[in-house]
Amino acid sequence: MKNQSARAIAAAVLLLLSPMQVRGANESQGEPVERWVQANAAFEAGDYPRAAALYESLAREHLDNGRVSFNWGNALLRMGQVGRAIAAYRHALTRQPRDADIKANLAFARKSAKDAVVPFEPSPVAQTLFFWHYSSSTRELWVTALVANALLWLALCLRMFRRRDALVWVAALAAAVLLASGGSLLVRHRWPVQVAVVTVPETNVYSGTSTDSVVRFVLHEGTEAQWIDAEPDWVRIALSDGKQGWLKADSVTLVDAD
Amino acid sequence: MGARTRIVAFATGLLALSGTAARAASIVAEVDHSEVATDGQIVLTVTVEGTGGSEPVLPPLADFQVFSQGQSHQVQMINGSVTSSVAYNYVLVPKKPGTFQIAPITAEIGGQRMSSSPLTITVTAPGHIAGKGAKERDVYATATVSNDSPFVSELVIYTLRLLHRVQITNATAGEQTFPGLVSRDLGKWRDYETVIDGRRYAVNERKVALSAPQPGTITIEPATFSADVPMRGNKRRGSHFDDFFGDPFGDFFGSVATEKHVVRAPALELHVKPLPPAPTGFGGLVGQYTLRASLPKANLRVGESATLTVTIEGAGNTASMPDPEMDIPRGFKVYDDKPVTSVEDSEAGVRSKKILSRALVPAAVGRYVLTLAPLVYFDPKAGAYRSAQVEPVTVDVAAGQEPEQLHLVELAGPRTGKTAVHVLADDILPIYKRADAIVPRTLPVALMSLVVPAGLLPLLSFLSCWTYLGLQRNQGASLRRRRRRRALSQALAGLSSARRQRASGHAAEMAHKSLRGYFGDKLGLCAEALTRNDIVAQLGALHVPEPLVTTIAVHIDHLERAQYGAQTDSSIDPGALRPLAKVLKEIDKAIDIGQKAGPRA
Repeated sequence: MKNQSARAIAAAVLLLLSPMQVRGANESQGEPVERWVQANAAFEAGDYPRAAALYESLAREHLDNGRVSFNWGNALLRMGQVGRAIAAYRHALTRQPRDADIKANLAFARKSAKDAVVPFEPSPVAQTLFFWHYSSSTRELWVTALVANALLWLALCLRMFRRRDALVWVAALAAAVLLASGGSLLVRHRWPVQVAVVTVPETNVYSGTSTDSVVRFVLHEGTEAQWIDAEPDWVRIALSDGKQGWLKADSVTLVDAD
Repeated sequence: MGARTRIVAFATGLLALSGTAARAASIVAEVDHSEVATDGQIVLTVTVEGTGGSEPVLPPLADFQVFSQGQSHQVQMINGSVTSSVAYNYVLVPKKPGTFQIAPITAEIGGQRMSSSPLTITVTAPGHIAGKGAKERDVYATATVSNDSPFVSELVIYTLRLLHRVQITNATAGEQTFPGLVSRDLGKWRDYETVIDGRRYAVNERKVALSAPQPGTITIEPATFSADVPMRGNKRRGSHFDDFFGDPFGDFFGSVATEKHVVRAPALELHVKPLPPAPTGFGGLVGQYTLRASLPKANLRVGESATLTVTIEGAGNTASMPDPEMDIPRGFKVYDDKPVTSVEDSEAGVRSKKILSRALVPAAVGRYVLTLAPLVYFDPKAGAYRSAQVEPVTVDVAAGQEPEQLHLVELAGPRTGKTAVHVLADDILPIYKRADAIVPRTLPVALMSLVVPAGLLPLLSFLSCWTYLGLQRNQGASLRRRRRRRALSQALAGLSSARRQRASGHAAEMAHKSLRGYFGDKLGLCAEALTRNDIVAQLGALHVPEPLVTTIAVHIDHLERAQYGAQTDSSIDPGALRPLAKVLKEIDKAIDIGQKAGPRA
């Protein structure tokens, strides 16, 4: 009876998954892949504006696992658009947080930034304590949480029929992983941290949301600051040294920091 | 005389002065001479007499360059009449020959606007004024070009000289620009002496290399100099070497009067010619150039490095000096070095040199020929294109040394002399090309739709299991309750049937079965396995009174003897089963009470 139930559940899960995999395999041969190939060819031919436009269209359709944004950043950097390139690389890092290539190119792009401002990053202590939060993409956290959830309830189910200590340990471990990954997802959803990257050659940072207010300081393309608040057409940012101010929303690109 | 008396006297004097000045208000404009050559100058003096006079307003003087030379104040007292005046001095440098009228000059004096008389100036060509302008020739400027009809990009040396044969001070040169030309200063100002027409002159000279990027006629604007020159009559005419001995008292007390003098070098015109149609390989290089190539060793071993040095050197424009093109055979690894360019400015012009070094490491044995593409340039002197070439360099490459020996040497040697690895250049990492970068369009939706079932399914499975087990437990308990509830009635029914079965001979068996069935149902036990002792023990644990337990035990013994013993059912008195029913009812109540109170520990 028990074995029959387990087989039925497994069959149901497979039934849910299998059509998606088949559809996904068919879709990968469709139009997005053609645009991907065209974009790569344009990049290789030195037609960076066209390559950037194609990469951007793919990234905007959420068909990106991080590599598209990486290539997009390369094209933008070749076009001399340092700010947008940094934003693209940062976006790629949210999908591939541990990718060394993306980190290398981001570091290269940051060398072209004019302002001597330390880019906004979480503290090393936080990165060490909550390593999974900063080194995992949102998708990875979702998968981890779902697997841990399944494992937890499965272990508890089996525990009702077979009183084994190992099942208690498995359930406890799964509960801890579920708590960690679920907590990270909750933090990202409830308190998202965003970075504003300056994408214009030069922009004034005002004390208020008006061009008549005092110009506190001037930022240049490629500078990364923490996003704090937003008003219509205005964004409030803070630099790593604590300086704050408002700048025009069209002079920056907002990117998730984790 | 007290302080108050002195103040009163001073104020009276001032009043007297001002009153006199007001009466003599006037404005007078005069020039030191009315005829001048274009390389000369005239001094315009505007004298404003009267107190409260404003600075005079000059009319537009488009045909002259005007330099303000400051002002001087003068107070005169003649026969008790006091006159104050301010003289404003201007130097006018004519731009072209002709007759020009200077309109009246106005100034506001004591609230009144006053005007001077107009002036007429005649400007002649240079040197046309005989016997005049001698003073100007004490200080004058010249400008020359080495070639007034150069080719495009050909270097032209512009030479600007300030010549003077009197001591001058505070000499300054006006800032000069060269619109439409590419200029390069050839060093600092140079001072020397020269003799012109038997007269010794001190010369300040500056050279500028010019090149025109486009053909056409380009005008080089005149350069101007200003300097303080000793006034005529105050100083002996002669060489500036005589200054020290000329007027020892004047020089000693610093009383030599000077006046500001402005001189102007003439404007020049360049007629720039276009280059002839260019041959293949021409990169815009104009001048005279040589090309050299050298390799220190003609015999190399595989893996041995040698530096090929290519040098372009010559006089001419450095702006478009190209990198020489080399044809390196495939058997070589090539490591480019940064080209070194040096420019040397000299009186003759600009000499430039570009050195390109490439480290060559042969990778295979053989004879190789390194060829260099010819350097095509335009020679403006010859008015034709030239080609500089070098002989091909032949290199013989022999096999390298034994790798084992090299290995041993490297291992045996101390770890010293290592050089740091320097990053020569940096660049971004290349793009990612594999198609797995593209997430299938349906996958995000599928994943999102999977989240809810994948999250809830395990929980639902757990809840299902839990519910199933719970139901199973409840089912067992209710069955026990039902057995307990119906135990007495079924037992009484069984005893009643046993009384009616007297004739069949099964009365004892049925009564015994009913009795065991009762205790099995009432106590939740298996009736078939219950013995007399089990029943007694269970009843004792449930606090059933001892007499009842003893009575029921006697009844059980009696029934067991009747069933299994020698006597038959006929020996069972049916009337004896009736008290058993009564005992069962009492025991049933006692068991209910005992079960509510809980079993005995």
